[in-house]
Amino acid sequence: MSIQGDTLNHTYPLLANESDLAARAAIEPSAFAALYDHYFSKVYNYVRYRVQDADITDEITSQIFERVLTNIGSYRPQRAPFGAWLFAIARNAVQDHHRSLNRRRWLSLDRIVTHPSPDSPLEEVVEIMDANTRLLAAIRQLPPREQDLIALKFASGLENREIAQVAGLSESNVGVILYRALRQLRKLLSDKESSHE
Amino acid sequence: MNEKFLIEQLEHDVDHLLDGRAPSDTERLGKEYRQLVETAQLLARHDLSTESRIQKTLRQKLLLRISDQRKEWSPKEKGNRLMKTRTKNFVYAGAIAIILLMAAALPPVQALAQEILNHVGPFVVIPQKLPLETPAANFNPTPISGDPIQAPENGSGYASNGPTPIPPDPNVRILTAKEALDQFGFKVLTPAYIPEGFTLIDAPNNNVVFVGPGYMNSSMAYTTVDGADLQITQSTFNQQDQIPFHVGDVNVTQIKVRGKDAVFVKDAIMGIWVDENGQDIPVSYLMWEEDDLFFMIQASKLPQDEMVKIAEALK
Repeated sequence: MSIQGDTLNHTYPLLANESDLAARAAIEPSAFAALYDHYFSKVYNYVRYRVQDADITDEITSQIFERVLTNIGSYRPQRAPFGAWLFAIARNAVQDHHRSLNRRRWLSLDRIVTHPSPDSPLEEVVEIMDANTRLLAAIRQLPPREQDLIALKFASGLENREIAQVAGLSESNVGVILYRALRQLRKLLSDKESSHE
Repeated sequence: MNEKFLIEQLEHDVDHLLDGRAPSDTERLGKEYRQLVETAQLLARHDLSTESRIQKTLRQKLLLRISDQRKEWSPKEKGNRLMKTRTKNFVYAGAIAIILLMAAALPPVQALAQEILNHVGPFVVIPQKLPLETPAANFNPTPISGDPIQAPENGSGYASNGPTPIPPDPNVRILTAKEALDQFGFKVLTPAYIPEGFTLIDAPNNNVVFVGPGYMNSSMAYTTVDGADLQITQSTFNQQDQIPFHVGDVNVTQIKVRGKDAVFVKDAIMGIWVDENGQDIPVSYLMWEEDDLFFMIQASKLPQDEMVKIAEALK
């Protein structure tokens, strides 16, 4: 018996590659469960970076996995790595949300819920402005494209090459945008720390 | 130092961080660069998924959906769908899910070394009492429709040129059993005996061989109209692997199958094989090594002697 290559992925030898898992997920709950367990937090974090509310994040995340399951029967590992396929779905779901938000922005209370007013009691401000909130708030001050790329990079763990494919940009462009977005983010966080002190 | 160099260096360092490795010596690139890497570290550590309230319920809901779909793919079910009433939904969440779930939930394997009873193929079978999952609450996310991968509408997102084609994964091939034998010498053993009522699931990617970098595996899934499941898998494996396989507080016995040492796990209940009511369904495993391959038969509603009979009839 000859086996090509020597890079073994043995987290589960019966379905050793996530493309295999994806190819079998429509038929095997065990395969889908493995993918779900691996990707849930990545997808959730990606969405959480892009929307302002945890409940909405849950809703969009569930929509994403529903879409994944609905369409996974047509997934072909020969055509795309599973992660890139999954985050293309995630990205579209977030964009759908933003489109619907634009249509009903006048109804949205998101900003009020997550951004304390300057008149809020100090305790409330301290509670809200914890580390996570500060980071999310800083991310949301970035332009949408930068937010998206930061989320794709750090929540999904995609390489720049894959982000370029998902986002429709050149790889070098992704590198530049991420670099400058991180610089902006650093400055925003520093400013917040200064004002917090 | 020019920006192009810093951009490339940052990409390198961020990829290292995301892989859990240390970045390069950032001090030599100045304070501002070091602060960028620190910001990247902050982002890489940032996990908000613990605030999710749907992770478990959504998982169970989706697995049950697959279970339903699986039965619809049964040739017998197709013929008898109008006459038969399905009595139970079966969540076929097997070893992979167990491994991932328990790896997250349990102490390191080393701490359980004294409980290790059986090492077969890549797995170390560990019987242990485990807390059970809470049955799913009703959770109905907003239904969605349409093709999941569509171009964003013009003017509504920054990428107006539609989804970019994603290149193929060159590492994975799906072959028939004959192709796997002809091209790689990987012989898929097929059962000359299958208990009455079980039929091979007629679905894409069932009864095929996956070939990836350094591994091959095949899987054949069977089901019955009343929701019993059977799966026969064989794969290459690494002799050094010791992947913990937590089977719960059940009997694990060593038996002989096909003249080889085998491990039989009877009616494992681990809180993730459940029906639609959240009730656990016992699943038995028969595992052995043969000709440098790992074999596993998993089944619900089948006694040990039937599973051994299937194994002995593999040809």
